[in-house]
Amino acid sequence: MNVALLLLLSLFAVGCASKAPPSPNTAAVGLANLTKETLDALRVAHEGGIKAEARAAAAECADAACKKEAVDGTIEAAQPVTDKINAGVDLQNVVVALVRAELVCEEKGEADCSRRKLAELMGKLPQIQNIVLEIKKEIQTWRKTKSKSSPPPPSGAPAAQSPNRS
Amino acid sequence: MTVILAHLAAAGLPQRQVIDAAQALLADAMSVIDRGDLDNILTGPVREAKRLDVEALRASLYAELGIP
Repeated sequence: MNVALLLLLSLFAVGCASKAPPSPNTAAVGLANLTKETLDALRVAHEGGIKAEARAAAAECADAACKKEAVDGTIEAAQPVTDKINAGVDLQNVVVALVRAELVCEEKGEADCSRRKLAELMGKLPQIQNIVLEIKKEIQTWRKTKSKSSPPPPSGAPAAQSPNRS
Repeated sequence: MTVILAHLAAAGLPQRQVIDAAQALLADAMSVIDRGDLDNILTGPVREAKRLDVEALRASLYAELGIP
């Protein structure tokens, strides 16, 4: 991890050095973009997981009403993870707003704005980090729950009810 | 490493805090992000993350599965 970290930070440093004069905001933008991409990737993966699970549950159904219950049941079972992801996204977008405000502040040349805003920004990064960890745990729990699911219900019965509703 | 620390040190932030945050963020990012995209991610413009829109997802699945 340390070698990879140095490699990535070197890459970042080269990118920063080649594009603009040194600014505290360059690092803040890079860190904010990393958390943004991490949350986006987790959201896309979770959305894909819901779709796959819903399709599999609906495949056991003979009619539209059963399929509807399968989809709704899957989405409902995944809601704790969804809520966690959206909480992370909301916090992330507070960070984005802070970084943008900071960039404007820098452009205007206002005194002390970097110190104040960046301190606030860095204070929020560990919170996002915790949410990312919680999301990962929730996803693991969700997957374990699915893997322990009972056999498919009889044709026509709601497929997603038993394994995932807790 | 030196450059990123110099950037943040200019804002008066403690280096330990910067290193801890950067290490934690990179550890998570590396598990989900394509390494080939990292340069653009780190140096690109700051952008907002997207919420997971449950109702849009539900509508998409209903349409795909022929649910009225």
